[in-house]
Amino acid sequence: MTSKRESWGDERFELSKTMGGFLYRPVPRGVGWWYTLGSATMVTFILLVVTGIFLMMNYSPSPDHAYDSVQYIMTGVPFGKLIRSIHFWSASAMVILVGLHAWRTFFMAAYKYPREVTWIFGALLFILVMGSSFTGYLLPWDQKAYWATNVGTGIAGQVPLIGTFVQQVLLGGPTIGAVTLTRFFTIHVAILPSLIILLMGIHVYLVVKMGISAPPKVWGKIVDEQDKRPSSR
Amino acid sequence: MAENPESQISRRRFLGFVVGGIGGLVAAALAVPIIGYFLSPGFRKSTALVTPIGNTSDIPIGVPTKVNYEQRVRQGWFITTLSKDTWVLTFDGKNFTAFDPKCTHLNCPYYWDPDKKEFLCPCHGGRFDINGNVLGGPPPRPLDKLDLQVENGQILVIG
Repeated sequence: MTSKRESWGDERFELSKTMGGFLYRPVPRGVGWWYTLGSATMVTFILLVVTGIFLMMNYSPSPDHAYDSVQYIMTGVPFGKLIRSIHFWSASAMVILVGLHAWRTFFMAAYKYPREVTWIFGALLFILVMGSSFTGYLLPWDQKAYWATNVGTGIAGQVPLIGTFVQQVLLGGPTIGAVTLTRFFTIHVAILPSLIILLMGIHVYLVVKMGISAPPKVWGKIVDEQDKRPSSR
Repeated sequence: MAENPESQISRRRFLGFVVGGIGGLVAAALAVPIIGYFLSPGFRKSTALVTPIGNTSDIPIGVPTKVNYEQRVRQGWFITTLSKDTWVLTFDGKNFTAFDPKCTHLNCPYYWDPDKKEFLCPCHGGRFDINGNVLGGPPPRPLDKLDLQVENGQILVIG
């Protein structure tokens, strides 16, 4: 059934053996669009990484040049506006999708045994996504960015006892300035993406390993959790 | 649904092609702008800078004069000011020549010796006449000249 070219590649890469279990695994009856939100979130993440890498090429994380370099991306570089817009809208979409994904998991009770660890890693990923949004928001270094960070870190500063310490760690000093910008930049482009890739790997591994939980009801009928026969067969 | 193994495989393959095709389209839609973004500096035409360096009346007739000027250079989002100089020469107050202030041998700054009426390079003894032609020493070619334009009594360096 397979073509000659596929068998040539498959003899050498053995992808169907390695990836077969990952791609061709049984899913419960009744899964639908609600079950695509996790993958959709991952797609936005991939878009963010790719566009982010190329934005970094023309961005300067210094108070003197951050704003001008963003303006240069928007007006001076071919496709710069498109690439930054994809980054911007993917970021917004990722926050919405990750929220919907968490809601779906919660309302379908898909976080229960044996998938609690998947849920915990999902919750950590949610925090990392929020952190990415927060740190990325400062980088254009315009008024909105400055005051949003002012308010956000100000909230952290209200925590009893350790508030001032947390705020100063976030800002890299007592006020928002050059150190805050490089700090947020590093967190945004290096620390958080690496952590997201690591935790996302564990999260997806667990999803594959533990299987997808059956929806509580399919067309009004309760489905047996153990009934993992693929719906398409 | 027909329980026919032949049709099952073709359906799975069809879905595989659909997923692969849509994925390929999305990847291409992203790859084209990114490749354009990455390669764009190679297609950019450098626009010549026009820098005023002084008034025509400031240059004495027949004597090479060192002129310092500042050149504003734009590098993407970054605008910087370079401090430069040049030897300007005129014989009639209308036509001007500006020499690149570096010796053509190894880029040392040379000077005008008013007694010998020669440009002398202190590094390896390069000598040029008032028009920049090599008189002696190691320089392989005459002094380089800057592109000039005179407009409304101002001397402009192009490039």
